[in-house]
Amino acid sequence: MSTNAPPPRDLTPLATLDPQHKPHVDDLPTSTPPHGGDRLLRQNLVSGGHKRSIRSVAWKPGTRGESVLATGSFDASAGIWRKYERNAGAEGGVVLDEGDFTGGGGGEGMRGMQSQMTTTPSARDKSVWIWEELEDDNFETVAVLQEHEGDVKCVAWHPSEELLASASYDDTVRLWREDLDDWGQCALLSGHRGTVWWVEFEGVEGPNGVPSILRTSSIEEDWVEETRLPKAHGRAIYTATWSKKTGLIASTGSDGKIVIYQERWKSDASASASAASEVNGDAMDTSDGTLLAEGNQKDSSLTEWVIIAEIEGAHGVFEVNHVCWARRCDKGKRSSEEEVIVSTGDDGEVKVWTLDG
Amino acid sequence: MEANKDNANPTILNQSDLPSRRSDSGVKKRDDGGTGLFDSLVPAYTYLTDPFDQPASSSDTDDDSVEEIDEQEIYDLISTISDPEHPLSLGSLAVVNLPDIHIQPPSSPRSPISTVLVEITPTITHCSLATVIGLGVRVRLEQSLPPRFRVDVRIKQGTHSTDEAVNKQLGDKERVAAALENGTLMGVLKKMLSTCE
Repeated sequence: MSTNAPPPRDLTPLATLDPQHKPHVDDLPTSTPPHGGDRLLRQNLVSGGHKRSIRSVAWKPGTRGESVLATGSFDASAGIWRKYERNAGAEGGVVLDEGDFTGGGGGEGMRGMQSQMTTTPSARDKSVWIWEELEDDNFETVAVLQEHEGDVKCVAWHPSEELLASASYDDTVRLWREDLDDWGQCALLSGHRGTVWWVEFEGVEGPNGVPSILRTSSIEEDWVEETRLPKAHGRAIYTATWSKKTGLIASTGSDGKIVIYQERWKSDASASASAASEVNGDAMDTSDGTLLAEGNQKDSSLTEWVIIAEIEGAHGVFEVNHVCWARRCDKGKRSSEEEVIVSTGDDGEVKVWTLDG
Repeated sequence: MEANKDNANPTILNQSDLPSRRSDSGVKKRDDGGTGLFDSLVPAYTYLTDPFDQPASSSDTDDDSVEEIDEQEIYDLISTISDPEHPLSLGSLAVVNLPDIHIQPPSSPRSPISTVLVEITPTITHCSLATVIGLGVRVRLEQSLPPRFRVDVRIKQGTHSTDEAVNKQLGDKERVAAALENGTLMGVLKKMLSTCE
């Protein structure tokens, strides 16, 4: 950012949802919600599975005919919840099954997983568990990864590869691959000077994710810091998330701001625009209020990230825990591709925002 | 029992020596924690503070004007917390001290958020209860202050052997939330906070 000129675009509130449960909405599944905009309705209330706070939740991607949700809780268990779609007009035909796990849920087949959550300040778990769904509701532990030196705050699967990223209280991001039937750490990213609260891969378009068919004997990979997003947050950043459609990044955190960043060609490099190759990206954020993007096969000198919109106090005076992008579905949508930003805060509210201008 | 304590013989301050508004008549205590020794050398630019700092009396209580909260008020909230191993207050043990409380206004005119930074001084450098004391201070302030305040509790630099680790722990929202769901720890905190008001 050059000066203090206001960002060119506006974040405008579209709707506030009432989730009707206690304050502190920590997490939102990063998936397209069933409704959008002013017609947002709370569909179902899932309760009774966990004994303590639920810290994270994620949809199983790429399913048809059923919806599967994975949850991770302070009670040191992860749950798998299923909703079967019944076509024969059976309204409200909702069946919820809960798997009873002592570690994390998810795995290769299901591509959603949780790290085991912390229980007490003294006995804290630092491991990442990978589970595989063998058949319906039968999960097997594939790996327990124990390299982290602090609790694991977030995990993310690569969109097209068997590559897992985990972010931790130990200020690092670790990348994991399966090597000869064993999962091992293939990279350690240590650019942050505070807890890394979020990690997420950039979406991969099409089937270009074939970078490593030929393997050397080592699974070590070199990941380099590609860029640092303009500093916009004064306190810890809790989420930075890529729009799969537009490539914009939204971030939020303890200072209550939501900031939108865009990658654009540097003006003096626009001529060679087509030369850039973009393969892998990975966004992270930390307690020191900086956002790093790291890539492993990208010419970074041609582009720069700029802030295109920001709003202070998105949830009033409260911290904002999470933002995600979702397809806009209400009548007011301006195109079939338009996205909204959904945010959750310590005020217990879920807010929907449009990006105008 | 005495032998198990980390610090069996802490230094205790007299109640009358603790900072309070009532003691203003005696030695003038400055909010910024200075000694006031050089006050007489500094010209008194009273016009800088007078017209704007005075809230328009009590008539505006029904509008949404932000109520001012100063360091003394923060001190009053946390100095009465009991030490987890002594039947004494954090104020009288000089674990919390007025000069180590800092209120930072919003970082920009559009931001609604202020920050309270409290630096605590453990009674001895290896006090294992520093985290619990810090947690008690954070919980007390988060329960009593309006939500526009972000509460940062840190160990005063150089007063504790593992201060950075404790600071990081106290600043971690998730760890604090998990701690507050821990029954044993909550019991300790309840006892510490039972002497507040």
